[in-house]
Amino acid sequence: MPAHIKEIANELVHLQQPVEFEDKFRLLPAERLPELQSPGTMAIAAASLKGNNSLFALVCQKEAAPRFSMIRLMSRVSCPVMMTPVGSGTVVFPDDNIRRFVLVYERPSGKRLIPQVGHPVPKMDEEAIINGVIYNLLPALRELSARTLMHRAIRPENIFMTSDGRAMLGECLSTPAAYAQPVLYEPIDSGMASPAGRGDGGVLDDFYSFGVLLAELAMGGTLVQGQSDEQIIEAKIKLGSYGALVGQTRVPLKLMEPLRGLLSDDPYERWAMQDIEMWANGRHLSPKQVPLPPKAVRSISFAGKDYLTAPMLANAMRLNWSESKGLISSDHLDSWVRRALSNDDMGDLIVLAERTSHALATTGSGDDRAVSASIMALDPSAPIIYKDVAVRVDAIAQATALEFFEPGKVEQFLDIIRMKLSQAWVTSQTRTKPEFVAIVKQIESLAQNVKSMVPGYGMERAVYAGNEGWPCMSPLVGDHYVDDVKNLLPALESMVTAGRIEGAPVDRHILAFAMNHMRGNFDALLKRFEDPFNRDVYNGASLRILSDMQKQFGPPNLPALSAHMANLLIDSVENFHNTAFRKQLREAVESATSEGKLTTLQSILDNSQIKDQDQIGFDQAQVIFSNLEAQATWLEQGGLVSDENVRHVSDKTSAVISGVCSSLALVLMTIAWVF
Amino acid sequence: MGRLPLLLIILVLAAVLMPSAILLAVLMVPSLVVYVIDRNPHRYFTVTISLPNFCGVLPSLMELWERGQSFDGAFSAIADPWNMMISYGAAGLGWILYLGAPVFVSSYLSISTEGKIKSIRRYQDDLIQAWGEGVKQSANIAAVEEVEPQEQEVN
Repeated sequence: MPAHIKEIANELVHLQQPVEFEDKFRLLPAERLPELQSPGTMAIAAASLKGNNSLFALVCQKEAAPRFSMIRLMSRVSCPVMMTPVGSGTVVFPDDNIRRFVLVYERPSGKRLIPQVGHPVPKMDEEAIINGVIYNLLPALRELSARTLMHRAIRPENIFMTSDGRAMLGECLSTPAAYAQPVLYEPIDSGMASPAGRGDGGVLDDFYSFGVLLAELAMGGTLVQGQSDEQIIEAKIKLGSYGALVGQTRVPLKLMEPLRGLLSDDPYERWAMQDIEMWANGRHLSPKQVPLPPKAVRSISFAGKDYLTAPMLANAMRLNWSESKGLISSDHLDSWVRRALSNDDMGDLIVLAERTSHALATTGSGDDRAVSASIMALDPSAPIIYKDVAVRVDAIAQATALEFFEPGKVEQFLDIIRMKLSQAWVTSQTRTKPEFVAIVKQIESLAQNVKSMVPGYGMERAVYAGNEGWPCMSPLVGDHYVDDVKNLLPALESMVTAGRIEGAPVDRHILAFAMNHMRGNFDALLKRFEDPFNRDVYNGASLRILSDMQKQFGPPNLPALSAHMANLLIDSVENFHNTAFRKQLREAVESATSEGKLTTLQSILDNSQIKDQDQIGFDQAQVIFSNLEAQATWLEQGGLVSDENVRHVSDKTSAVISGVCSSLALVLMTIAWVF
Repeated sequence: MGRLPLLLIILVLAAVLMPSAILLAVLMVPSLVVYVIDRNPHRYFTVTISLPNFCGVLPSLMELWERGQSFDGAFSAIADPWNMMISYGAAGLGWILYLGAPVFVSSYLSISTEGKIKSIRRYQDDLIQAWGEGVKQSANIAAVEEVEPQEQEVN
């Protein structure tokens, strides 16, 4: 298994209990099938509930998540010589209550061509290759080609051979596209890219891999044995893929044509389905020889070696980044390109790259961008290369997702997006392709996501927006495979129950993942997450987003999560001034917690209206208290019995008494006068 | 109604009812004196004296009207010491009331002060119970602010 893919089979030995999946299958984790295991997965036995026992399931990992969009498309393909999934989705294993992604396949007949990567490929005779492999796999290649589906896992250990020598293509969906492919089986540009940065590519990439497979079968052993990946790439650039792999070795005459065609380094000249079918039907074609890159009249010395061609130099610059900066800043490269290579257009591009880079480098350094753009000028077919990152233009989102937690990588991907290196790559291409329209659209969408770095946007959002079905990578969901927002709250509930979340159960990944799936505009709410040290505001906003999620997607009861949030926010209840209201709130919180209703909890704990009411009431009470205090002080200081006040009250009192008595006297006199 | 029209009406009435006016002018001298010396805008003192004074004048005025409104009647009423005693005595009662009221009012206010303070403190306690000790905060600040200028004045 490639070193960059995590082994999970040993971590999952505790899974023993059978589990039903999609009401169609029964997964049997106790019954392991290591011979059917793909890299980074665990193969277990499976049976359909209708009685088909010849199934198996691959339990996938979230670090190298399966190809979600391709699973949907591949499920519709029915081809007996290619493994296509009969079921897929997430399932909770009862042993540890953790949700994992599972792919269910029919068990292939036959054994793998080689048990695992690195084993020598057995040599096969010409007829066995043509009849057993080429003719047999043609229907699979035809299906893939017709539907523009990219297999990206054509390699010897993923080919199953029956006892009578018939080949079958293995599965290709359990890990990202070409993630487990050896460099040998990838075209030059894809090989130069890191495994994470290869992407789906195109159907022609599969034909190249098919060509390498045929070459290995025809010659036996492993091609370019003992060579490192970098040596293989260097050899392919120097001699061309056919020259590097086949070289002077005698290959069966009948296979020479397809090998030349399939191993062509120019995708425009590489054999596609139509060419293979024509060849299979007996029409012999002579593939065009792809010319090797032009050699310079004198070499350029760089990083202790001399180079004669621009792609070789570009490849060396990829491997020696800091020396490349020195080369760009000196005039050597420009003069070598113009004088020794006699390529003024390339020279102009390098000069332009250097001049514009400083203006465009808003986040990273201008020198780094200049090196990257110069490599594009020297070898337009190479992937985007920036510092430690080598990525195909359509795989930036995938590479970001796969390498997100590698130190320094996210910053480099951000630089690539912000410094418009993808656009520069598209511009540098000598021939335009229709795919470029979609690529430019994807680049613009990525740039839009990183325009704001507020939680909920940024690189995390770019991951989820750029990779359909990518699982939430937040450490807060632990090992749970959450590719559907509906499963996010149950995962958090389970993590809280297990005591694995202490603070707020919301982080940048959860926000970005949720924002990518939820309806509505949450921009104002997201601003409340900007200061993670302001715990009250952050926790309140967390409760709001979680309650919105519960409202939109359920489940109706989340007792552990509600209790956790109530614990985090109970201090805010204590911040209320009115004691009776506080008591009432505490009782309401207890009731909402026991019911597991985040929405009710949110209406109590993160409600600005009742907070404002409390504050207004408190302010009024303070004013009243203050007035009363002034009155009491005045009374205590004898204000009421002061001479002035007594005189004032006496004047009034005597006037009233006088008025009353006089009125009475007047009435009496009137009565006496009348009678 | 302005003062001038009122004065005109009074003058016309005085001219028409001259004997009565002479009688009133003489017997209500205390009220006129008080009206002159009373500086209170509400004229409580004037009211206190003039109302009983008028009650004291009223019997002699009625007698004058019964006799037919003559200058002789008016002068004989003025010359009657009994009438003088009644009207001035009534004014004197008003005066006694005015001078004696502060004694009773002062006693009443000193008794009610304690009750009022208690009632205020009770209300304040209710406020603290409902809103917590924080409700006292602004009162304390206000108290400090009040104390400081006093100290400065003392210095």
